[in-house]
Amino acid sequence: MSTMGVDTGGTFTDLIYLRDDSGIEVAKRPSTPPDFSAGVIDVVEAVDKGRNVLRDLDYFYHGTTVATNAMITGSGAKIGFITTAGHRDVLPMMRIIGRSTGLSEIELKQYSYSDKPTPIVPKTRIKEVHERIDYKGSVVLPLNEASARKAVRELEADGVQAIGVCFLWSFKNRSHERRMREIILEEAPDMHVSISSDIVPAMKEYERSATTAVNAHVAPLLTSYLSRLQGSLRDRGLDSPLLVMQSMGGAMRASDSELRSVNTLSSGPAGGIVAAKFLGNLLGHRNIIGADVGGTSFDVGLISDGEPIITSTSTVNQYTLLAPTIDIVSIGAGGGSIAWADLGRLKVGPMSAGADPGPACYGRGGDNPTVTDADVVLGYIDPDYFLGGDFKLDRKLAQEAIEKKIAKPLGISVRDAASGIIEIVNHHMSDLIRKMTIERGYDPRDFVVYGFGGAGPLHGGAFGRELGVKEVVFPLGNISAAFSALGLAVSDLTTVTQLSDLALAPFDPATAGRHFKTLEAEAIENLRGGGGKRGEITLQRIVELRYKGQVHQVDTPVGGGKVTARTLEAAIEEFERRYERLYGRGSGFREAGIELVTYRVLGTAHIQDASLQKKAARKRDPAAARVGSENLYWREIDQVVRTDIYGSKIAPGMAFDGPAVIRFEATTALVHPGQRARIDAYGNVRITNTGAGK
Amino acid sequence: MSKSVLKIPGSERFAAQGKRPELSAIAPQLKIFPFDPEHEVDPITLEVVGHKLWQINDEQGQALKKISGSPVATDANDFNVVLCDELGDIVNIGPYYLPHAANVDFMVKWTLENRSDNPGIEPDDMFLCNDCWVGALHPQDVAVFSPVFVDGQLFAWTGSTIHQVDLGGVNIGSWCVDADDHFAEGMTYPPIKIVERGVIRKDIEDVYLRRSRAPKLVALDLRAHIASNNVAKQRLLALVDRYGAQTIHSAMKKQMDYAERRFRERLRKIPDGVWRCETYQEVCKSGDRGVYKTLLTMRKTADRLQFDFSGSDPNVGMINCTRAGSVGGSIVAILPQLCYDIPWAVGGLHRALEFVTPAGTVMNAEFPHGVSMGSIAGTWAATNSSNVCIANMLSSTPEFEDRLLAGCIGSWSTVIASGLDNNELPFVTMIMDAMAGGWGARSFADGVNTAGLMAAITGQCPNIETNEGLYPILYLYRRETKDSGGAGEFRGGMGATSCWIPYGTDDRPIELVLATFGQAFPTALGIDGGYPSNTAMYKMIRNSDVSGWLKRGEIPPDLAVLKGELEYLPQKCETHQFASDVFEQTLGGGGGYGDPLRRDAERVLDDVVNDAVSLDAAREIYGVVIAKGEVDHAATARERDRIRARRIGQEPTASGGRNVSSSNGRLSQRLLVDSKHDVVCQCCGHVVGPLKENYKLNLVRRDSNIQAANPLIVDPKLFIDPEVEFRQYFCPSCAVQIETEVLLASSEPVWDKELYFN
Repeated sequence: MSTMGVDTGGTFTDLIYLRDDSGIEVAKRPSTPPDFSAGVIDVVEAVDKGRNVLRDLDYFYHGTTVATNAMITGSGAKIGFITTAGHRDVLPMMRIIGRSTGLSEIELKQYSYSDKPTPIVPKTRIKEVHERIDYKGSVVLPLNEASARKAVRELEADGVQAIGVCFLWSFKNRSHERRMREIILEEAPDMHVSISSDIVPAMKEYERSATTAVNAHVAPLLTSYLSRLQGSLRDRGLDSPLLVMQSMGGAMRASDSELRSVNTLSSGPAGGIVAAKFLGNLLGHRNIIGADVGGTSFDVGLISDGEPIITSTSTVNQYTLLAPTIDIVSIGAGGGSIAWADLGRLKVGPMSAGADPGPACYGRGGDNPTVTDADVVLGYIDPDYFLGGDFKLDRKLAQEAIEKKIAKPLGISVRDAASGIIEIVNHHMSDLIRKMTIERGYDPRDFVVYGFGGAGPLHGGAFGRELGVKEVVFPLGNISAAFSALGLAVSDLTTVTQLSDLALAPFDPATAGRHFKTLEAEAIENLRGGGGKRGEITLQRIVELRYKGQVHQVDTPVGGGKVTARTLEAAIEEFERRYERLYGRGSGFREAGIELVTYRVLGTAHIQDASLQKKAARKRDPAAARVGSENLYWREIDQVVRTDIYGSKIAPGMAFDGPAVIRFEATTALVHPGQRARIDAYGNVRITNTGAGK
Repeated sequence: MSKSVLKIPGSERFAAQGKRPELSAIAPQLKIFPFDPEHEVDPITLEVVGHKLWQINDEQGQALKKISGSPVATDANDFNVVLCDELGDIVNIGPYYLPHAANVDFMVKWTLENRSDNPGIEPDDMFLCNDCWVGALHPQDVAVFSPVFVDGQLFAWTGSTIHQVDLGGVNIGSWCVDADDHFAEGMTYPPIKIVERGVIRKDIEDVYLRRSRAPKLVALDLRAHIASNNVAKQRLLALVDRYGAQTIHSAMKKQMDYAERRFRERLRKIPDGVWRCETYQEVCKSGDRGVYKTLLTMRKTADRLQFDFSGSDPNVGMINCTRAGSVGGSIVAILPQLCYDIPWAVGGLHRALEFVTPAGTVMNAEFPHGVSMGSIAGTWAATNSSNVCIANMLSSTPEFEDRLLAGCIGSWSTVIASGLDNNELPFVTMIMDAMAGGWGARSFADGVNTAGLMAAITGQCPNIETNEGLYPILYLYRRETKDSGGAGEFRGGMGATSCWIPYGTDDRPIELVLATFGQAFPTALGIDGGYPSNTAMYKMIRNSDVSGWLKRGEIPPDLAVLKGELEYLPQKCETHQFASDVFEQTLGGGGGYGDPLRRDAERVLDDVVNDAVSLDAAREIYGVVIAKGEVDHAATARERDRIRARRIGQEPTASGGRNVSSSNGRLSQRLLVDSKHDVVCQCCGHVVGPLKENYKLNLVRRDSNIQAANPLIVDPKLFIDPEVEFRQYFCPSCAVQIETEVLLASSEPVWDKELYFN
């Protein structure tokens, strides 16, 4: 089997080419906004080198930020929206929470700079229609067809390219939205129409409206981008389908983007977690903290018992969308994080020097010291071998920036300042991971850390030790810098179908059975024809339950087969167990009863059997990979130590004690004093604490 | 109006001042962890530990929120968590409901002085308190706090506060609009030891729960308190284990020192002066028609800031707060406008702050005056007045003018509903639509529409589907309210209006308890010549024809189209909503910034098109003429000239005044100061008068009926007896609107900004 994953990021486009017979190839090229497809073709050509590899691919996977960018810049389609009379302002009001959704505490405290995002659809293009359905799904007011037609005509006259519809309680009774769609198409046969009961028939009109409107806004752009890209790839010999990464992990067909564009939003960090799951299966790791350390942001996701933790909503540009997403938490911390001195304190981040001007050592005029500058000053990063030597760094500039802005004001040495910067950013990272795991009811000590992204191997050893995890892995060595793209190349096809139907326990098995049957049929329909020659489909049933009156809903799995009273009782028992793990003993207000909110089916079409090849350990003596030694300072022992430096020749079977530095082409790994590194058969760098030195 | 309230001898000792206790006031058996000023912590460890201390609060807040079952906590975020040092100074407060920044510290300090001897303060004890005189904002705000010991010595305190849905009293929700004094309000508990050495005292818990109409929810929240305090305690002790007690102790002190230094540094960059705000609440309890003044004099001297509420009206009805409420309410305006990038180590900030709260006033009631609305009455008035004073102060300083906000949602509109829910079970709830208030305009941008509360950093209002799924109501509409944002060069954010009918209740009524203010006149004020917002409003159409509308297939777009008896519900009342009664609630928007005649006409058109501003207001207040969906620029220029001429009774002159460099400083963005210490109009250079006089006396003043302040204001005589006016102040030369005021007709122009120049 052979697959290719191309991941478009803000700065770089990464490619992984995976073949059963000959392992992994990697390529990296600059991204090419505004037409990102050029960068995709560039990176494909970089790896192809005239071999016509596209022809033999089973799947071509793509992770794209086109939809996300369209939303942030407002460059999506000009849309209209139709609501129940009296409720035009559901979207503009954003349930109040839209002012603060997804913002950091630092941003939230700046009241005069906090605001709602530019609306994806202005009030003038939101029309009200007389109709009303109640909480039971009964019609209070039939759809007033005259007002419906008037709304469509006004929107059409305004020149909208697409119309979204969300009526109150439409997930309980879809008839009005369906009739509304017919009316739109009668009036404007070429109109793109998204009705909320198709996009996501789930309770909560704000989130459902936002999901519907965002989908209508970004779908035309994404669809045309993908079809252009598919054309270019086909011209270069691609015969297999183009698959697109979704935020929940797993891919969808590019041809499905019309209805499901919203699922590609915030899919960026998902690839790394999918890759971690894939590698974890090979290594026997069931509980993994996936930590992606980039230039500006630090993203963390969890894998528990072999599966990524998913949330039922995603947040994009302050909108909350009912699109299941791998649960990823981010802070502004990375190589570009700026350090500064403030009244006797050393502070790091969240401001970042970004790619331009970048850290001081880039020599592009940046004079703020960053984490990367500290790494250069301490000698961890070799200024002559950054990104394989393609890009020279200036150690002197790094030194000057730290001296001027940190060491002098604080009255400490440059070395102390540099190691302090790194110490602080490492603690910010371990604090975030701790918060993230504890809040979800887990103990970080039961996990292994996978540290990836350009700076993951530089920091992973330190924050992993701080957290007390069992082991830290820099996955696939050099490839850890492009690990997210690997996640694309090994993805299955996935889909989510859901509907809300409020009920108080005990639940009716006949109703539940009927709903799951509908959702499963829909899921199978979504997955069929995804190119799955090995297309075995698995379906997982989930109900979203809560204690009535309390806000926290918990996804609870439901057994397969015929839905019986016993199946549902078992789900309630499982809910109570999960609730207690998440929120603590005695936290459920049982007296109020248990309420079912949403039924959901997660469908997976298993189209993959990619695996990685093990390499036999040949040269076990690490000396063969040692390229030198340097006197480096290690803060935890407060000593300068003669430190071995290893190069890209490190190979399976080698093992050595820290302190040591491994300089790959794309990244640098630190093995701290008191740690031992071992290279396993896949080329993973695996760090364990031996206890000494700390 | 309200019955006379007798003083209660013996109650004085509960009136806490929030001062750090003297060690001599603490029983000797309680060993206090000694502060070692010599203990040095390096800048890196300080930052690492500081971040972890912050995270303790974060984890504590998350733990609390997860367990609490109350929509007040989970939607309005009406709770908070704090970490205090051993004597109760706040090291860190969570990013939740900000007035609680003056809760737990007051209570801990009082507890140290009054409980250390008997029953004693021991490891793993927890105290519960909702006594407003000791520190709560109103009796519904219950705090539970716990000492943290290291090696048998008192090392720190952790605590949390949550608004409870009901703790008894004469009206549901404990919003006691019918109470004559505190004895008819929710039960008051001065600090009582609810957890003794880690175990809940069942007898004490029963005493606590017995007077609630929602004992199960209150019991659940008690567990949220306890669990979250335990989380914080365990995390703090883990830090002590790792870094050593002296280092953590010192880091807590240094966190406060750092906040204090940064705050003082900021204050030093602002000119010295006095800022004043006179604002009001109306209707002190059900049946009343009075208006009650809050007067704030804010003095800034070097690196200190004083909030003085002297001159506020005597305590009355149920709208008073205590000292903790005045302090907490002021802190709401201080933190986001002055400390947006400074750690919220309130204990450190307090060292540069001073609060003068004369006893016996609405801003510091004496026992047993009513306080059940305190958190959203006196406390809110403290926020409103502090907001205006600080915004005006920031307008004097170019470096910080981008941080000011005009008045934000001028009042909270309580709606407590009870009855039988959709499953025929009894319910008591607070309808949280009131979160949908507007924020004040900024000096460079409009205020945020339906932004939330100034007091709650984040918050949300529930989905309509959520409310309809839980309660027997059907919404006719919920929308942003046209004209609710105060007019200005930058417009205030819009607040929302919600309207619902009973649904499926047959002939059983829904019982409502309502409590708000700012209904007769606006309380979110404008800055630098901006207009105030709309007013809050509760309306009911009795015996309406709404069912006829629905049968005809239409949703009524507005109350105005319905037949029936329109009732403006008073600011404090208990009432019933029957099947054919339509209830509407309007929330406050934000105040405007700057003269609306300076607003870009195209933006006014945009507001009209987007239903933010009515066509009438566009013409009358903004002077913008819109024809065929476009701005008529020539007509607009004429209209604006006409309005200017009418303002000052003559043709304005746009220039010819003194040329003033801003280097001499300024009173506000609109009023510069020249080298002779004269105040000069920034627009035209007109010399207004000497700095040492109230500049307003030297401007052209126009007094109008309060209804001129905003198109949505109804006749105040519906609600109150005293006369309230809208006053505008214009430059006598160029006619730019320099200030607006909402004042009792009997009040003198307020000298709202006064600079000290040598």
